[in-house]
Amino acid sequence: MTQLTVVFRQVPHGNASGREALDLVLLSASYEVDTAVCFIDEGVYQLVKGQSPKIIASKDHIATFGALPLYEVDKVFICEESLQERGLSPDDLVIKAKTLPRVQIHRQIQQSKQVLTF
Amino acid sequence: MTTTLTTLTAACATPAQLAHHLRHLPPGAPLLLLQDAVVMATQPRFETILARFDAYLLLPDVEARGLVSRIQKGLKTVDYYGFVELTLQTQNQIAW
Repeated sequence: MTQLTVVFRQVPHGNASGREALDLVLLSASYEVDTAVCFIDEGVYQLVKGQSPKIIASKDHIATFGALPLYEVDKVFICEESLQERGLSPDDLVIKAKTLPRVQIHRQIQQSKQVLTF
Repeated sequence: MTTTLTTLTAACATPAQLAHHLRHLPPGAPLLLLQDAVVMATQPRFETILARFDAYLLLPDVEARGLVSRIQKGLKTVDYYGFVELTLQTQNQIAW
């Protein structure tokens, strides 16, 4: 059972939730909390390659997703259906992570002791 | 007749939700997607609904999200000046 699952479900840069969620993941991982990360619905846009948030004066947290392995966060799951619905494929993303069907993402969320959504 | 520019700033989860938002909008009415709403213009599933309107996208918001190459056919982009021009061409603006 995972201790904490952080769910990304919003488009990046419209608000700071993506950056806040990533900060939380890295922080909890550095305190050795067993942390999993899920990208669902609009949250998959957090990982799209080629973003330039500076154009709209937004802080660039996207490159920091690459730090997840350094923090030993290896439970990173991307919803397969969410990618398909948006015409995206795993090659379009900044990190290599496991894609899972929606039902398995649900299972991950259900089996986590705590869940925080952003 | 009064013309109105409708702006959307949030992404809808499904085409049905977008259609619901726009149900009071006459066909061909000007519609501007900005901020998080621009992602809908990169998804084929929203194409039919957006095609009913005179739809524009705020380009800097698309560029920021790395989605310029994914904009669906038939959608026009505007910069900030273009946004101002749209507001001048219409009498009213509704942020939906």
